[in-house]
Formats: sequence, structure tokens, C-alpha cells
Amino acid sequence: MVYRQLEHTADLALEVVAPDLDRLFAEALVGMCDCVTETATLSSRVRRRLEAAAEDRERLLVEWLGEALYLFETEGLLFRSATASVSEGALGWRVSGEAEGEAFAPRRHPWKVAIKGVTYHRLEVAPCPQGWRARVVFDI
Amino acid sequence: MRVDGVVYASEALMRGLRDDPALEQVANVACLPGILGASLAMPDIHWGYGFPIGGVAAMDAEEGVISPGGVGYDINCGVRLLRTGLSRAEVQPRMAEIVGALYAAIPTGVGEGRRDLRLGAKELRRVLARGAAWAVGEGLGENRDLDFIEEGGTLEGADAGSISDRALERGSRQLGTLGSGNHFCEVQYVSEIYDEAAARALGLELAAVTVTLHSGSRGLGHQVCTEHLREILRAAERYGIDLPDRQLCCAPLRSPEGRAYLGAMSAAANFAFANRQVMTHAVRQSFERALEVGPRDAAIEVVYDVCHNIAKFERFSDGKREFLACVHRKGATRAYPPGHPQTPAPYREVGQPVLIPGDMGRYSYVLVGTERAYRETFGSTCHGAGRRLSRRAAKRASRGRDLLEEMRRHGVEVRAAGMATVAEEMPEAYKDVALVVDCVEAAGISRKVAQLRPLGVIKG
Repeated sequence: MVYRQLEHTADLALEVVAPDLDRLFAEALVGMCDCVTETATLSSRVRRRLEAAAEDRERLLVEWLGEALYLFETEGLLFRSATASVSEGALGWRVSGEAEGEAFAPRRHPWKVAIKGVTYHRLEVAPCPQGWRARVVFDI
Repeated sequence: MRVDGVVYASEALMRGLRDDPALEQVANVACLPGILGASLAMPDIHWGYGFPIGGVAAMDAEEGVISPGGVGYDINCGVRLLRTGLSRAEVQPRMAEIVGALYAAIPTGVGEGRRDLRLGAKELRRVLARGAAWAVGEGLGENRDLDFIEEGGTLEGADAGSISDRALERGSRQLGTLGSGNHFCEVQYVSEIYDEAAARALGLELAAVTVTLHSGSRGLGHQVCTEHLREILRAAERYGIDLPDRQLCCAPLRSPEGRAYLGAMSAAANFAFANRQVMTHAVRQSFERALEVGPRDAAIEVVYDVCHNIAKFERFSDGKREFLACVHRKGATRAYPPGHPQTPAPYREVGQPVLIPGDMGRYSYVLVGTERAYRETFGSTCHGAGRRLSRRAAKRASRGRDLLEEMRRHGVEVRAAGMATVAEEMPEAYKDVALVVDCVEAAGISRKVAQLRPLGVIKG
């Protein structure tokens, strides 16, 4: 497993490690969905394209995960897998990718926790010996 | 730090706090420009993001800043207490039916929306402008209810037009829904009275049945916070505001970004007031249906409704002059004293009711505000118990146990959308709220009026 949830009394922190930024963002998205349900119970019947842009890598992660959260809140979608392509340009950072999953159905998918927002608290996207590490705290 | 940090806590609570990052957060808040008095923390303080939960910070109306992290994602998460004309003896034998009726009437849990109240953008903007008054206007409550809600259930200055399509979309099916996590609708009885005169003024009698709602602005509020955090983070950089923590980002109250957030936050707060009003109507209907009684016999009335995640302008006096301050309360409750014009007339001699929910197994409290709170804490007090165990630790502790049966044997009927929430919200996951309440009373910033014990609860 490349992501893990960290103990926190009031909120939920996710730590992700991946060999490169693309996979970091992809795993972070699935990792967030895995905070909500067991992603292994999701099918891949729905595919969605997601995009985000921001001034720096950290804010980009917040925007990217925020897009996925919006899809969950409005369409009930949670994703079991994702791809992402992260790039830096003159105007800042961008990420685009695809995610596969399905709408949450209480009879098929165990419920873990509702995420209210992706916070900037202790936010980190940084190189590490294994490649890249991200940490993000969710308000739950 | 521009001002001191002041934490209201007992020796026992402080022992638990000494190494808690929450204290660092109190210190960080003390760095914000225009902060007045002190960076305050209530006894239920715990680690939040940016501001601690249980934090209170008042900002100079001219020179101060507004910080979305000082309100939180769940704008106007708050508590409403209803009293009834029913007794524990009448209601307890029928709890399964009542809880069933509440569960059917109030959508609860993730993804649950109302089929009967799906609002288009135009109508939603009316909700955002008018708050609880919108719901009363639709026949979902009585005019009198509005007199017993903080700010009358409508924050003036709400900019309903500024709310994004995304926020409207998230809120469109969620008006009148409970949410999940630590939100609940709980049926209780008055188990102890500490102040007879105050209880009489609040209409609370021993063994009378009450109902508490705990919920906020749902996905709409979360989206407003998300969007404005992004803008204000950029603004903080432009205004050269140095931040020890990004989540503390802020903008001058007089700046376009600050005013935009205030307008949007007020609109989201109105959504939450309307939300609790719609659910009040559902509570009334549920009781009447389950017990086959009419409204006059059920006699369900609003005792009070308080915000505990909010920022708003309030007037204070330092003995020499009156001044306006923007008070941030993140996991803290307004606690106005006797005599204050905003304390509802029937309560004006005793003080504004303060509603402090505990966990679903033990007790909750009703208090009133005091003059000392008005002088020392910008009219603020605690809001609840605070968690003791993380959600994962609570789930581990619940393994192999039949929590619903345990609660039933304890005398509490629980109906929940998911067992994961029940495990996370089990009583032992929370600190004892009595310790928090005793602390604010000892500090003189609130006075105990009554204790409420649970009979039944619905959870998401």
C-alpha cells in the first residue's frame, strides 16, 4: 500500500508515497476515496476526467482532491483507480487525469467517513528517498 | 504573538493539553493582525487545522482580519434545543416508534438528500438570504420560532448572489438533512435541574422530554469554505500577512476578499439556520405521527438555537467605549448575559441559553451566559465534549461488540445509517462533557441550568 491514514482525534490525515508526482497524485486521489469506502469494493463502471490548476504543488493537490470530493458530493462517485499527469508551466502547476469507479451504494460499499473538506493544514508535497511524499489533512 | 493566549481549563484538562499541538495553534492565532484582547481557548479545546477547535478570536472591525479557518468548513454548525409538553414516562415506552419516525422524516447519512425539498438556484438563493425565516414562510415552522434563534435565524449582510453554482449544487438536495459523523437528532429528558428560576424561564421541567438537533450547512457550507480559503490564501500573500500555518490564512475585514468571504459565510450560515428549522418541522411531524397526538399536546417549541462555527460582528464595551468586533468562534458558543437586548425577552433575566451536547450515552447540558463571559471572552463559552479516541481507535475498540444492543440496555434507542458512525461516535470515544461544563461554570463564563439524558438518537 502506498498510502496510509494517520491517527488524529478530530480529523483524518493521509500520507502518500510514490516514485513520481504523477503517481503521487493518482494514489492520493484513490487514497482519499479509500478514506470514504473500501475502494476494493468499487467497480470501474464509470470513468471521469479530472483537472486542476494552482500556483504550487501543494495547492494543486488540494484542488485535485477537491475535484474528486465535488464529484462524490454531487454524483456519489468514488474511484478505485486513477491516472494523473502533473506539469509545471509559466502560469503555475496543472494536473489532469482519469479516474475509474462508481457511485456509492450503501448496500455494496462499506461506509467509513464523510470528508467535509481538504485542508491546507500540515500540507506537504515533497521529494523523499522513495520519490515523492504527500501529506494532507481532511476535515471530517 | 500580538496578544496573549488564554486557555480556560481545569488542572485535569490542562494535564492532557500540555503536549497538545492545540496550544501552539492558540499561539498562532495570537499573531493575527487586529486581534483584540487575547487568543482564547475554551476547555474543550483540541487540535484543529489552523485555529484550534474551541478557539475564540475577536478582531478589530477596522484593522482586523477575517479567517475562514477560524470558522471551519461546516459554517454555522450549531445546536438547536426543542422542549415538548411530553414526559419521559409517556415517551420512553414508544422510543422505537419515535426514533423510527424521525429516521424516516429526516434524511441522514452520506449521499442522503430530500426528495420532497429539491430547490432550484433561485429558491436556494432565497434560503441563503432569509435563513430560518424562509422555512417559516414555507409553513415549516412558526414565527415564534425565530425569536429563539441566535440572530433571529438570519444573518444580515448575507450575499446570496455570490454563492457559486457548485455550492448551490451541493446544497440543492441537502436542506433539511442531518449529515453524518457527529451530527445527530437526539430525544432526551431533563434529568437534573441546577437553577430552578432559569429552568422555569427556559420552560424546562424535570422529566420533560426535549429534542436536540446538531447539524450545520452541509455541502454548501463546505464548498463556500473551500472556495474562499483558496482566494484568501492568495489574498494573504498579496497583503503581506505572514502566516505560521496556511490554514490560518486571512484577509483584512475591509478588503474585497474579506468582505466577499463574510457575505458568502453569512449566506451559508443562513442555510444552516434554515436546515435546522426544516428539521424542526420534521421533528414536530414525527412526534405527532408516532404518538398520534396533535400539535397542542406535543407542544414542541424552540428553546434556543446557537451557532458554534461562525464569525460575526458583535458589539462590546470595555467600560470606556462601545466597539464593534468580528468574533470568530470555531467550536465555541455565544453566551450573552442577562439583560442583553439579543437575549430573548423571556430569558432576559437569566441569560442567553447555551446548549452543550455530550456523547450519545451520557448527558448534555443547558447553561446560560454571564456578564463575566461578556467581559472576558467576548461573550463566548465552550461547545461540547471533544473527542478522546481517534475514529480508528474507536472502531478498534468497538470490534466484536453489539453497540446498538449495548446502547439499548443502557436505555438509549439508536438508529443509524451506518454502523461505522455508531462505532466512531460511541460514548467512550468522547471526553466527559461534565468536566468541560464544570470548568466554564467555575470560570464564571456560563451557569448550569439543566442536564439532559438521552432516550433515543438518529445518526448518519
